[in-house]
Amino acid sequence: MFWAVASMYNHGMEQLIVCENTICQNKFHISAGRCPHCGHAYFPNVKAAKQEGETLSLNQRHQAAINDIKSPGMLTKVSTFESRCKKTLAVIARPMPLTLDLAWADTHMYSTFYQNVEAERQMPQGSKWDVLRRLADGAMFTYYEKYIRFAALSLDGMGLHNYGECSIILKEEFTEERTSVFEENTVMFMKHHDIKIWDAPDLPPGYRAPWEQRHILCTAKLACRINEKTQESHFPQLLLSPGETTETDEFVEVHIFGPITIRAVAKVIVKRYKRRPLKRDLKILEDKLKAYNIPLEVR
Amino acid sequence: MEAVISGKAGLAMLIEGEQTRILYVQDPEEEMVVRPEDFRYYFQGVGDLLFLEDVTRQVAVDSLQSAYKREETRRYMGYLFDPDLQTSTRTDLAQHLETQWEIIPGLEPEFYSRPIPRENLAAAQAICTETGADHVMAFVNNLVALQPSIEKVWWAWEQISPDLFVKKPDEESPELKSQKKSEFEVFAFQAGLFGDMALAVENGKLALFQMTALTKANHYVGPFELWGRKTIIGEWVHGPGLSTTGKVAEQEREERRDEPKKRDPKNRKKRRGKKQPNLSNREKAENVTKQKDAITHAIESGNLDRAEKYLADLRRDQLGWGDDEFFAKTLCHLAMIAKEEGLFQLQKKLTEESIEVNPRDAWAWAQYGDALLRNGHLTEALETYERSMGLGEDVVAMCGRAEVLKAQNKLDQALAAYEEVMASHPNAVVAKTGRAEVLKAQNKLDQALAAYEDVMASHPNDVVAKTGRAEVLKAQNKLDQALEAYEEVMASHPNDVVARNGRAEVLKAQNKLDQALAAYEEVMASHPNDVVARTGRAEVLKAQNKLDQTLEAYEEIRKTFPFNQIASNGLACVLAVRGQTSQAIALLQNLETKKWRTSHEWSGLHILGMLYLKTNQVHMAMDIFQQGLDCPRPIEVDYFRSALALAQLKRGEIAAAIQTVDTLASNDLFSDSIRLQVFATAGETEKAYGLHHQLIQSPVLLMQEIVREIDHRYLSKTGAGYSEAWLIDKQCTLLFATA
Repeated sequence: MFWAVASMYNHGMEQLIVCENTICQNKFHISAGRCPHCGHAYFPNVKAAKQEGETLSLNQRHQAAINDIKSPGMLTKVSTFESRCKKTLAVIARPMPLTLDLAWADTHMYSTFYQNVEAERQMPQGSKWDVLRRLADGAMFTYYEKYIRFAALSLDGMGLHNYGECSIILKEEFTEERTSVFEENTVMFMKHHDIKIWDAPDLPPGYRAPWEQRHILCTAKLACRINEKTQESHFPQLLLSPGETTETDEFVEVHIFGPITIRAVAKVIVKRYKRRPLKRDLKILEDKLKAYNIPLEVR
Repeated sequence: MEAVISGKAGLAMLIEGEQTRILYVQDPEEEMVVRPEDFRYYFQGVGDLLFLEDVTRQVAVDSLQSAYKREETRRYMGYLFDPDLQTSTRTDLAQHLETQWEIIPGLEPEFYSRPIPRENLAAAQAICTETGADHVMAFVNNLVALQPSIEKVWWAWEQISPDLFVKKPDEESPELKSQKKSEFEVFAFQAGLFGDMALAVENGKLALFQMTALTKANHYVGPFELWGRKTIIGEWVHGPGLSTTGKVAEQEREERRDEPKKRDPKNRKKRRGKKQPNLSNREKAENVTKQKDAITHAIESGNLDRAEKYLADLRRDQLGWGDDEFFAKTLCHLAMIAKEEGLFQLQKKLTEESIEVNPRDAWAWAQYGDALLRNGHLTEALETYERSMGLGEDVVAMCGRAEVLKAQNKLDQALAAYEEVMASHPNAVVAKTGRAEVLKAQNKLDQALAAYEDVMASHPNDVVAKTGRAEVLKAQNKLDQALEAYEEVMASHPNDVVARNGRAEVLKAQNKLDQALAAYEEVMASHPNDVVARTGRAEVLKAQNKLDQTLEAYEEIRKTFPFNQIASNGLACVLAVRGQTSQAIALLQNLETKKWRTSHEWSGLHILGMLYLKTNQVHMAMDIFQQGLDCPRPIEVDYFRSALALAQLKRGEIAAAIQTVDTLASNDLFSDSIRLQVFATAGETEKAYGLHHQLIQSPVLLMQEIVREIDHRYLSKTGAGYSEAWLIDKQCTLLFATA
């Protein structure tokens, strides 16, 4: 088994990495997914999060956040928050019909928007559709955006219900190696930091982390919001807070590389909202999840 | 506003200016403001996006509900067989599906693509019986009946080596080969090939399926590269457990030979103790002739049930004697009779059987090609003729191929094809008249006239040349000469349907509508299945504004000739005039994705574009009009240009609209009304007034309404009486009423 660590060269829009397999050590594009020379497989989003500049900057942010804490009591609270964040879950919120489709069979894969637009009908030409073309992912995940599934980091298993009444909690052991996290919604991040799309390959470092370092990022982001009045019961909402609109959703974004099937699901929580979901659909989901030994909770 | 709909997700995204909102199908009154970028979150895992432009909220909601209902029904149909679900859950599903029974047949073929375990099917049957869900039961029973074929097809697919899916199997990894096989499988599933093949196995039509599947693969446009498609499909069709055509026919013949002959009880006394003598070849030939005559008579008198019965007897006899080759020829002969009677579907059925019986008969393939052409399956017809040529058929196949190219509007290629035949077969009259017909289609009317007159000089009795010449005269608007020419043909060939229909058409062009109607009805009296007479009659009724009778006429035609585009176009126009726009659109939507179109299909596409314009689906209308600019027939390109100008006006693109009308060559009513509207809107008053003066005198009341409104809005500026949408709506109606 070859061990490879990547280092990144930024050449404007190019993102080349070097395979450090001692026999190989050739350069290739980060989107390749596998070294085309020696075949060692890796996940580009995780590699991007693990590069030296990123981890260094993230650690610096984390340290700065800790240093800003004045009282020992607060430090304990933040430490507790950080420990809880080591147990966070990746949750995808979807409407019931799509959850049923996922549950139908373990050969049903959860595909990304990009894969579907590619395979099916393309977005029409014309200025009226330009408003939907302002997607940041092509810049964030150059060439491999179609393999990325989006989720949110959650402490209590609830996802962003603005995107659907079913919170699909993923099994850590099925996703941890191919998952990275990001400070917030990538689009909002670029907006908040006034980053233009053509500058995206040069995103400021320190705002993403591999799965195993997610607690570091959570602390770096949210330590400043923990105060005397913050209690442990507030932590879930501190980490993930659906807004009145999606513009005001607050969360840490999760990026998972590759396919997801029902086998990667640990639990599903359904939150009833007005006429959603239909009772019939809920019954179907209940029966299907039982067959896969996946617990279902209805709130 | 614009809208993106997903039936699978059950949600719609509405875009109005800078604001984007989401609504769910179950709570359509509740909207939530979202960011445009949320598009990627909401539509993750979704493959059925529908983009609507310039629609109202209600249209978006209605579209969403319709799409969702279909997806929900599909999902529930699948879950009906899922053993993971409790019986009570599936019972509930069966009861709900029964209320959506009208959607089930359209989705049923998708379930032919994968075998379903028998116990799951049995459980579904039990549930349907228990709940009294009869329509759902019918669907399940169909699946049960087809399972053996579905299983065979699936098994044969599984046996195909992944090596066949790559160019250099020795150099590619097993993962890549598997991936390529998976991609081909996705294509095959989406194209319905698994289901089609299961039905082909069931009906013994694998040879036909092989051709159709290859056609679909050859015309595939998508993200996958379908390497080795011919070999793969061939391998699939010849897979283990599957019979090819020859083998199926052989097996059936063996079964027939072994089947004891049923004795007629009436003849029992006579036959008792008597042995049936073996027939000599002469006796067999006489029997066959008698049977063929009986079938011909039955077809000509329209008694198709009797024809079928007699054919079954003839089939049993000829195949029983081992005379496959002769039976194939018999079928082709009967197909020609059916064609003469205008029974193109029967023609197709008979020729289909002939190629199944004798796949090596080049002439049978050529006849099948002709049947496909008559039924509007042009791509398959072309491939069939090419196959016929490959098997050695000469002039007939070459001319047939040229005729298909002409029907596909590939006029230069058609001309070259006919000239090729003439070079190798100088006396081939069919090629000469075919060439003349192409020249006419290219609007080279003088050359076409000369070509027909050349044929008449060397073949004075050739009726095709005479009627062709009359048709050219009509195209040159020399209506009196055209009428005379048709009547000359009728004098020497009183039963010639082409001449009789041609005369009726000239009378219609001369606005002698009552005489035209009578002329078409005379043809229908002697040739009740003649589709040209029937559509001609319907068009005259429409010109007479007898819309109810027109509707009835077109609907009758479509029952017998479901692929007749003239009838579809006519019916769509009538429905549009009556305000039944959705139904009109549904009739013509298949034209959008066709690669090669006949002249009538181009007309249909134009009508569809206008229907989209009328219903504010401007983006889709413009797509169509842009496509229309590639139409190979110059006259038809102008129709698309004028429609494009109207769409550009609707979008407020006035400069573009002016540029478009400047390229218009036509001066028909519709084009002129568009010109007037564009010039008036753009403030080019001099040009507008010129047209205004001309068009206000039009006898068409609808035109007068349009002209008056344009005058009020833009010229005399006395104030708009109606909205702009009303004006565009009237323009559309003008087209539908006069098309």
